[in-house]
Amino acid sequence: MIRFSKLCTGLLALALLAGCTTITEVPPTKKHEIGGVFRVVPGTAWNAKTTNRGEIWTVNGFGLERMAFITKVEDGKPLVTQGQDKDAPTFRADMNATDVVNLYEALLTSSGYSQIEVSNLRPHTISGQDAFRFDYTAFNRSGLAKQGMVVGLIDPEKGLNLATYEAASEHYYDASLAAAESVLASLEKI
Amino acid sequence: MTPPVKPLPPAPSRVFRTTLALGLALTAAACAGGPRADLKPGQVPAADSTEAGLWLVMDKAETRLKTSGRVIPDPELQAYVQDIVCRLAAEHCTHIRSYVVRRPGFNASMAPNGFMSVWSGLLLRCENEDQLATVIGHEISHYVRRHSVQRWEAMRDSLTAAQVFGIVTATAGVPLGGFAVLGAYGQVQAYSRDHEREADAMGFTLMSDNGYAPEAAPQLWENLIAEKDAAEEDKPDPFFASHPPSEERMQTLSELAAASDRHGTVDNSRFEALMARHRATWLEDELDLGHYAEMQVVLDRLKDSGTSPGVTWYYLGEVLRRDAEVEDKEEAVAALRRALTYDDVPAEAHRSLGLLLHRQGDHADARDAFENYLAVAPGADDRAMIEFYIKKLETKS
Repeated sequence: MIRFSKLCTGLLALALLAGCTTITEVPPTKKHEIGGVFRVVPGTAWNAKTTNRGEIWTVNGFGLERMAFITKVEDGKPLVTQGQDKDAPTFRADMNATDVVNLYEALLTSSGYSQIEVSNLRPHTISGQDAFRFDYTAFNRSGLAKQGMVVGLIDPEKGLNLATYEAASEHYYDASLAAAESVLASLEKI
Repeated sequence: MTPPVKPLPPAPSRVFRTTLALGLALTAAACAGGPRADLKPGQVPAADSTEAGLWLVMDKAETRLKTSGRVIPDPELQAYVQDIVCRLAAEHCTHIRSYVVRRPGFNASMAPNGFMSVWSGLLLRCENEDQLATVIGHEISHYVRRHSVQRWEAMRDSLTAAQVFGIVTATAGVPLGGFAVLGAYGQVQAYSRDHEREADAMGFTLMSDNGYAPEAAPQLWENLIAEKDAAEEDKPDPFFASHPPSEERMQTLSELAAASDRHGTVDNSRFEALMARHRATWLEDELDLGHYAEMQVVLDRLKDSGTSPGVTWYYLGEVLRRDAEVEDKEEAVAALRRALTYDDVPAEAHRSLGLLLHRQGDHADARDAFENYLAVAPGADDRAMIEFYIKKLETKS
């Protein structure tokens, strides 16, 4: 009986630990490396948590605004690996910027977003390497209007890498826009 | 050495057997919850009733939807669907509020308070107003027959009975509560399937009595079955499914249509004009779902109908271009070239053709396609990117 109790306690502790997410503050002035791909200057004291594909940052709360860094998506893999539709499109090494926009739209759709409008797809550079940027608006699953921007880098060795900023259109997008732009402007490829 | 013999558990006592039988009977009886009288036009539930609570919850959901931005901001489209509601619902018309929401996939829903939601993906799949009326008639039937509240009460009563059963059996030494809850859930779902059957039959009567073609009802289900077959979906467990199988619904509606002496008299020009206005946007939304096999079935049907040919062929090309399982992209190229022969083709067909040809190494034609895109859509907001592609191609030519 005692052994059974210990087992239950152990399982409960494991379950609780598995459910915990560590949130840490990113030092604003120190260069920060993400996923072995990006190096950035945070500029602001963002709160960060790691994901299986990179990191997510926020100032006021992940539901209000967030920067997400998705790194090293390999050929044949989806952008994120959890909670996705089995039919979620996957990244292919021969994709270009326009294809990645379609892939990102599919990611938003599979996350319950609707009325996705992408705009202003344009060339960009990161550490002298060809990259791209685009903006979007959409409504999330709860009907909240969202606005976002994405910087993408396709690298022959490190696959697809994205740095994104998304926030509620009302108030929050503009509130942290300068901080997000500063992070994106500081992006370097490791 | 002979291992110790483990004593057999005692045979269930008479008390236990009686408890088990009573519990099962109680759980089954709880789900039987008698049908309610149909809702009278303008009738609202008593303020202290369960039904009033459900109405309150759905009033809030309706308010949220109205402010969410999901409702398609086209007053003509919204008025059109509401007109069909009124044609079918007669004196209930002013108590049912329909909203067409922009959302891919085949779905519509009806709340007990008269709040009806119709997804754009459903409209996209309807070939005519008669098929749309089939769905709207079905949803009106749920409202009039008060299915939501009946299902809610059945669920509440069944789960309560299952919990009582669980406590009683546990007390008797054999905890069977988990099985009872599963059984209760299955029974509620069976109850739900009966409601769907009832709504199908009543919806059919509403549509066929109001000038809609009876044969449209089974045709809609036949189309959905074709989509489902293309997707090779796993069939839901029949015990836990909330809806009857599509095949059964199609068969029932076919029999009703064959026995009907009604004929369709509806002019579909208003339907087609509104669908043509939104079809490209709704197809774009479907494309983002990534369910390419199902989407191809929808597009093949549109292609056969000859409506919006440029849009249809463009999205066929897009499905084939984006589907990673389609390795040979020649068919996608052919579909896009075909799309470009029609006046209603979206400018993006040039861009997609350029992307495909670029990937195939046909740099000169890819550049031409990108240049055509910019010529047709000089204000394209991805102009800088396309010019970048062209510049890169020039260095390869």
